[in-house]
Amino acid sequence: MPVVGSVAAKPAGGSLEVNDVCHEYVRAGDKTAVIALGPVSLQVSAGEFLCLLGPSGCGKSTLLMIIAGLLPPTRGTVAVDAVPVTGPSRERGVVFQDYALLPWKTVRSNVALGPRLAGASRREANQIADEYLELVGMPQAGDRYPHELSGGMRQRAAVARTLAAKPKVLLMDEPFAAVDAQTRGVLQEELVGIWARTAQTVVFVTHSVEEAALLADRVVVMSSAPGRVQEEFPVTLPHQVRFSRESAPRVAEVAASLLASVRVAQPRQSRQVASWSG
Amino acid sequence: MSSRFRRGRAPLVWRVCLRTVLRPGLVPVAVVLAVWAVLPYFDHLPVYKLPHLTQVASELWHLAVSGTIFGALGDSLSRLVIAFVIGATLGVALGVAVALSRALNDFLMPLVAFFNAIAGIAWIPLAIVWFGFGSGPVLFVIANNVFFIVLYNTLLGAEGIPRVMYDAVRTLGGDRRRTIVREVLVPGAMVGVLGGLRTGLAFAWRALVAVEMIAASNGLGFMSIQASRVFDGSTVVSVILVIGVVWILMDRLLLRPVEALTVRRWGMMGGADL
Repeated sequence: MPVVGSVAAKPAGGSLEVNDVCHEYVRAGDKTAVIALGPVSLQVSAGEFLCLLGPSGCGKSTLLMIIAGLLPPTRGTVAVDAVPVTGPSRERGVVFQDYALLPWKTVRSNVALGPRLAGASRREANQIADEYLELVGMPQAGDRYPHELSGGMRQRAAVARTLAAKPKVLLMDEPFAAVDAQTRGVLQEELVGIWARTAQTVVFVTHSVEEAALLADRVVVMSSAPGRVQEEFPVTLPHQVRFSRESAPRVAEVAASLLASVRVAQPRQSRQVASWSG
Repeated sequence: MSSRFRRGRAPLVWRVCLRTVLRPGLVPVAVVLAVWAVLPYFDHLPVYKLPHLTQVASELWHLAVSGTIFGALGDSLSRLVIAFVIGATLGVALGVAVALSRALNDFLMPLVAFFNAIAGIAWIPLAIVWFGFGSGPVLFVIANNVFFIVLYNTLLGAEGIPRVMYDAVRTLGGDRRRTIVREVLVPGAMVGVLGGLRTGLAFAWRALVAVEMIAASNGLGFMSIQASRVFDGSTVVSVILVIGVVWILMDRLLLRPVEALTVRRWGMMGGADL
């Protein structure tokens, strides 16, 4: 993949701080307040790749939506570069699991949307879009509509769209869960390459221990009901070698220790089911 | 040898026939016309019950040459256009407004549900009192029809937009309401809007003729009801044929191209050609 000058030259990502964030909802049946998440506190330094790992229903996606500003926390605060978050903004870009590309726009117009909303002219925005499409390895696809692309290509386009808005923090909500295993491997490796070049701060939600072991600088394992930080794992293996065959045993080792932690994090019922089936 | 050669060619000729003749729907039409043509020979259908094919053909020819049919068609079409534009504009505008405002939604939807249940035709007596005979009641009833169909479909289209589309635009820097309306709500509701326009136009075209029979003094509906008063079945059937053909032309030349350029191109409609 060619290195694109202006993309690589963009400033490094911002730092993120999550302080005692809780999310409660009122249960429909007996009208009692249920704590779904928290309190959770996290510090993510500029340029760090953090994975939020946990069983489904542990509130990791909820936490991501709170960081994005799409969901107000019941308590607690989120700040980027020490500025409190009050709602969604382009400084916290989100890559959604189901792509969320606008079907009525071409891929180029989708990617150009961030720059356009930031006030760039159509020409400038399209130029930026083409640079980012090249960054994600699909320079030819600009004129196509999202429905004409494969799942993997759609997710590449979605990553390009989020990056083109030049966020300080890149939030990714199980972005590769919907693509096939082979494409997923390719996308993971490409993402690490893009991350290394753009020095972007990334918070990546996943339920896959392998994925966390391959991508993260640091993995935060979350427990469920309510979702809390259970354990943190720094992953020291250098990113350049993680996708090589020789590193596979060491990545598997990291994944195994993550898996042990996730098993503990699971609620008792599902843990029993897991042990019966295993 | 030569016979075998000919036998080998026959399927190809047949295939070409299939492709060129069957596809545009000429065969079903030809079958219907043929049945119509031979019907009088099997049963002694009196002409006043079903005018013969040749009679209708010559009547159509006369109506076309004299320009009578085009005059009536012009009267009906201009009413259709005016009523459709009024009803569709109000329907889309109110649909978008209701989709945006919970308060407006809560206030208007019970009323809309009530008035939507009333067939457009039921308004005719009141409309005649309000506007007098002529174009007034026709326009009112048809615009009323179109309005509710387009409003409902616009709302359905807006409700069908996945939440994540809004979230995506908001996290890309689209924080103003105008941006959300322009980038997500309006294009996202297009499937519903276009479906509503198509259904609305179809219903309007049908209802128009009926209302013209009762409340107008020109147009295709009036022409048909006048002819029936003097037992002129050929004109009645001619009007029926014109109504059908004009609808197919509107659908093929206007609605389908618009659809192909928008929602179909965006992959927002099923692949099957309707």
